Amino acid sequence: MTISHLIRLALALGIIGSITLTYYTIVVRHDFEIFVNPDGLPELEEE
Amino acid sequence: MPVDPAYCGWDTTSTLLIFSDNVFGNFIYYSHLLPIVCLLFLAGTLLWQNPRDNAVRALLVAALSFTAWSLSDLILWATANPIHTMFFWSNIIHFELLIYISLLYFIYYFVTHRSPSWKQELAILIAYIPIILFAHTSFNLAGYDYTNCNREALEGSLLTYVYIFELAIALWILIFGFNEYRKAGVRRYEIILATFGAVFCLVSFSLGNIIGTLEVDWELGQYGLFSLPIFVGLLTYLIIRYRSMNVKLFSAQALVGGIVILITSLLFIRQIENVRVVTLITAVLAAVLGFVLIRSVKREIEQRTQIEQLANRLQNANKRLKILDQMKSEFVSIASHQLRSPLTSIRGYASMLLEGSFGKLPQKAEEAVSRIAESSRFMALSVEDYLNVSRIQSGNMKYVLSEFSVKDVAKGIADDMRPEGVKRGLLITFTGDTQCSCVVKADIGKTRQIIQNLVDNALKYTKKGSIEIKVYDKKNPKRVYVDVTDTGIGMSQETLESIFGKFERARNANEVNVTGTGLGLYVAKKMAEDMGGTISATSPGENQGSTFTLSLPYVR
Repeated sequence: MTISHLIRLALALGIIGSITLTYYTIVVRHDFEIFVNPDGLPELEEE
Repeated sequence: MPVDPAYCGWDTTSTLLIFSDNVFGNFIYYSHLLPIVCLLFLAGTLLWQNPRDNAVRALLVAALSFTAWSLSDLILWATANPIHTMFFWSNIIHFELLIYISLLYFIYYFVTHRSPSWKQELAILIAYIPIILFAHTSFNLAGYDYTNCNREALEGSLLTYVYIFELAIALWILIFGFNEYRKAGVRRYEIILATFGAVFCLVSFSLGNIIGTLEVDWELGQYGLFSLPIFVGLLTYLIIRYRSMNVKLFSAQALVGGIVILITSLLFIRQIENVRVVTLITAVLAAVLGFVLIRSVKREIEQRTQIEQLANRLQNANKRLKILDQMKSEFVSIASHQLRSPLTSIRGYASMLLEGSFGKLPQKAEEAVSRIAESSRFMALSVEDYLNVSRIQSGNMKYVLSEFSVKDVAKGIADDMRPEGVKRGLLITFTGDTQCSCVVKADIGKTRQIIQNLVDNALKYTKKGSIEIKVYDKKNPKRVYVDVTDTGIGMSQETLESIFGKFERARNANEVNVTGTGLGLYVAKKMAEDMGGTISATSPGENQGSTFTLSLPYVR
């Protein structure tokens, strides 16, 4: 295995790890912010 | 979770995450799915034909990354679930950057057949680390925007870094392509097309996303996606034109792929469920039948390639054989010429000794000298045969044409050979058609040589009985025929078929203890043919005699 292979492997593992972490954060823990208006209701688009 | 899909009128029943009423208009599906199909089709086809080509592998990674990107983006259009939106939107940057990185590799492999150096690869990895670290954080997506009904996330500052990364790679490809273009000789056109194709594709893609981010108008970004099929078309052209890819196979694959894509695209236009089912079945059938077609075309091409390779090898072997044959003829010619001079001396002195020019020889010495004379005569004939073969093969046999009567020539030979026949207890007869003047235009010396050879053979291969020489003509075709018929050892059908070949002798020739080179009839046939004539042989079978016939076109 060359240095080049190691670098590519590191990149692939990094991306997989990052996606896993995102899954854990958002899908499992629902750890993200939801921005709402003061009245709690979204503005409806005008037709 | 404070989000209420019903308040905004969102469709919460999406099929396969990508089909829902939230996606307004078929344009979104076309802009996402068409490039996926085109790119996957091209990459898959190329991989099928060149599984070990690194450029193709890089293109496949680009195709898969784009597929992941495009499907994630479609989910963002279709879903009403904030978790889906946040998850797929967070990951989209990885797929986006992978498209850029794999296209960079593709261009490197396509142009130089090498990957970027490990230092360059390390630079890419280092530049990528912030994205790995912060993709799941609010630097990537600040949060879900429920202040309106657009089902969108709010992007963070990491996106700016991603766009800079992307444009840097596009610039890298451009500079690399330009440098290689300057260095390249015959591949300049190929390099410039591939480089500009890739840069155009990536920049259009980036601009679509950047405009989407700045203007918060994601519909504009859809147009950038159409640069992918253009790039695919360009690559297809380059590959067929410059990589000696089999056009016939590719055409079959393109035809099948095109039909399947067209049928499948109907799924997105016709909303009626029954039509969708029929369309799906048709698409599957077209794919299966197309696969069979492609396999048969591929098999045919493989067979044709094998035949071409064999034909090439055969052609080369033939060339080598011709050269060897030429060398052998030259060797035989030189050797024969070298042998002829001393043989003439041997024959001359043996003859003089037998004639008593050096006094009467003792009985035993006379026998010995007779044998020398006989052997040298045979050897001289053999050398003459070799020389004739050499002349025929090199095209140096000279013919002096004149008009003469074959009947006279044949009669003269019969008269000359009769004493020899009597010595061996054989009767030599001559029959000439009185109505035939039998005049031909040929080389009289060569004609005599041919008839002499036929009569010599008849004498050699006949132990008892007779030899008949018969000359006659036929009006249709206008030819004079000389038949030499003997009551000798005859020939089998197998021998008849090969008797005029080089070094061929009758299978039963050795039974009568006759020595010969097997070249006499070959030379006679070639000479007869060169003078517009033919020689043929017939025999009822072994030990039943044979007839050799010389024919020449007559003048009158």
